[in-house]
Amino acid sequence: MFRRLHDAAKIAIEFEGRILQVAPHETVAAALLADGAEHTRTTPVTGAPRAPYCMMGVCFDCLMEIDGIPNRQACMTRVQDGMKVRRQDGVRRLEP
Amino acid sequence: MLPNIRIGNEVVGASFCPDDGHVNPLRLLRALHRGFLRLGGQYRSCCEVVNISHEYHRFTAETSGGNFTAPKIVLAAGHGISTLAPMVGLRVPIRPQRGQVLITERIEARLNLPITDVRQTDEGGLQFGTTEEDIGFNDGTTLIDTSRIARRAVQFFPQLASVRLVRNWGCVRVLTPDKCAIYDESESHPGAFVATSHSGVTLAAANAYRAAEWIADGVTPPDFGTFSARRFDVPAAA
Amino acid sequence: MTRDNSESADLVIIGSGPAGLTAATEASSLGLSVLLLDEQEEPGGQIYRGIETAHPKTARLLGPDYQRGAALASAFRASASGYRPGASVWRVDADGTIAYSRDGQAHIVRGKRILVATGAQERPVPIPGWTLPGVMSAGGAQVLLKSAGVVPSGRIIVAGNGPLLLLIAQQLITAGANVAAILETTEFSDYLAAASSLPRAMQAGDYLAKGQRMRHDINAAGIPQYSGVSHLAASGDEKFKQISFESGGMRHTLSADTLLLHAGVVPNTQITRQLDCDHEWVADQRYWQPVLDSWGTTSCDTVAVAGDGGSIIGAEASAIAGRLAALDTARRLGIFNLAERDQRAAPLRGDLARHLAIRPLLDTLFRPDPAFCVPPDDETIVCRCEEVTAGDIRIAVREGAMGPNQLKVFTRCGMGPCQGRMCGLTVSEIIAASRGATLTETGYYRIRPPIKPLTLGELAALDDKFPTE
Repeated sequence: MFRRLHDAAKIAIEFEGRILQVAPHETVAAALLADGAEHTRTTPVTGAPRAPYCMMGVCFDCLMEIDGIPNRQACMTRVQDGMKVRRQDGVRRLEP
Repeated sequence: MLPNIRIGNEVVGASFCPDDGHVNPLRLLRALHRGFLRLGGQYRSCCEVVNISHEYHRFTAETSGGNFTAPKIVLAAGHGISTLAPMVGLRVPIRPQRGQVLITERIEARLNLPITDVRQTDEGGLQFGTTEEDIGFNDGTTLIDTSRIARRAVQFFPQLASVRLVRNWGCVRVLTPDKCAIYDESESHPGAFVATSHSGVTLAAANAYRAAEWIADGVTPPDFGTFSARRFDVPAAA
Repeated sequence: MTRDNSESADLVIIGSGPAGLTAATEASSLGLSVLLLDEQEEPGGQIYRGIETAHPKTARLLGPDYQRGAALASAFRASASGYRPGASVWRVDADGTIAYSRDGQAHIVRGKRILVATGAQERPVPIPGWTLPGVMSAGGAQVLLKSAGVVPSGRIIVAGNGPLLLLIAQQLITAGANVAAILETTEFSDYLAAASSLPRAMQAGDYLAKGQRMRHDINAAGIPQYSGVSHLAASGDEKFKQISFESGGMRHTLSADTLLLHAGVVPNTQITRQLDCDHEWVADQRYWQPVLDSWGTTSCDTVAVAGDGGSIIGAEASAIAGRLAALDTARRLGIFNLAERDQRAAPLRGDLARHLAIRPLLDTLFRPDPAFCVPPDDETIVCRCEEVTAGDIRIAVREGAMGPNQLKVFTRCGMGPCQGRMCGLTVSEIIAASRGATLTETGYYRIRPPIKPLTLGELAALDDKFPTE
């Protein structure tokens, strides 16, 4: 689990239906870790839980569903007010 | 027939053949390797064949990894056949043709049938392709062709527009003049066989059963002579 | 800037770390048209991540080495260079064509010359349990600190080796985080072996002083430190709970909330690999690097590399390498001749030599641990995407997978979304060790485009930009 060193202006995002106050400019991965998120996806192969590992776009372990789009890199995506974030559970779905 | 995916408006028709099927080529290759080893076969890699000699009804493949001798030898070396065939008195006209393929991330199972140029493997990845390019042995890819393949995929199935591409490769096919397989035994060097086809995946079952029996036991299936490379000796009718 | 396919520049730079920033600034000051593409939203790369936006307190605790990036970023901002943040390059061709995506749209840009300044990535640290939530790369934790002022909140254990390991530990301690232990694979004998490099390293005395200061701060904080650590294994059910290891002939187990792993950094070669440039194996540091001339040019004449993407040289040397590459580009594009290039480069070469003097010491002292290169435990996951273990790879090698590309076919190793970035080095090492072959004989994955995933829709839309048949 993680914490913020400084208080900053906050915007609201939704994570698994819960509203979080997060700092603007930070990435989705940073925001969720600072909020105490443990795993952010499960793998498509064995369903194992995973969390952000490299934070620089290399490992692809932070894939999440962001604003309805699956398999987005949470460490490469900045938070935006009103953004809806869900865990990427296993293999991605195809939109209707 | 494709209940789990929306078909694009530009698609005006389709053909269907109940015999169509597909196999995961990676799993097939691994299974063939494993089966071969389990049956007692030996697999030696890093053995480039530099010469094949023929003495006392035995062939010796001289390779960078040692010499190997047997009464029969099968050339199934893709484009390597062009170098090896003359060593055993075979003429095997083959040429390279490039195909480019797109591979996507895994998605939930949506395509229950293989479709011309589009299929989904059991792991969930989609494969699109392909091109037919006569540009020698270059196995690279081009932006123009890959974008065209992607355009076609999205025309077929608009929902795929959001699916991510993870790999894009080019590969060189081994093509005969009529694109059909060649199965042949050398007249001057009996016991030397050639088996080449595009593709070895599509024809894996035929190779594993019919062609293998033909080589091992001398059982020639009916009309098998059709596959001889001698068919190319006949000049085309004017 | 135009948005169609006719966009072009004399020099297109990929990456905005120290090498990319100085190259862009220098080249545009020499009159070249420059376009810098960067995946992040702000300049700085990973080393100066968040340099323009970090909280002043965070910047202070990250220290003067970090703050030095501010001057590079502002010089770049003041230059005439074009800048496209949030641009994810997914294909580079030897004719100067670069394809990238930005905000869900693919674009093409053409450069007379391309400078790859994509820096380094951390060496993977494949130990049992390294995929558990709660385990993160130490560099990842540093990115969190730089970019968001976020630190782990519970007990932290830092494990592995390399100068960055100690730096991160020091920074976390300064930030008030609870670093519970530091586990270093480096042995006392490594320090003795490194002593012979000291005279040369004295030329870079400031680096030595920094190292001493890191040690001092860590010692002063009273953090338990273990050296010569081996057999690292993380465990926990669904998330990280504890780490076990051997040190001083004893087995230890420590509980913690977060495990930070690090084993040095290696060049990010995805673009030069995708271009099929020549690469060489660096035996003492156990990584691949592109073969470059002294100005950074690869075996592909239109493409140069500057900074850690060419060889691990550190931020300050990278900043110089960026300027050298810019000078050579100006010479190639006819701005000035060889003699003038060399004259302008002379003082830079002197500075570069001084910064590189520390490298033999660091390279000897922080050799990657053999167990990180070839994980001994068969259960250890090597390919995080496809969940392929070291044991799976060894079996495939026995069944005939003689190289990394054949291994892909056999196991799907390296075929997931990270495109081999997290397993490539380990795979080559395991195959080489299993076969008794050299790394050069074993080779590396053939890296194919796209080097970053893009959607089929984005690629399909590019079709409009090509003439129809």
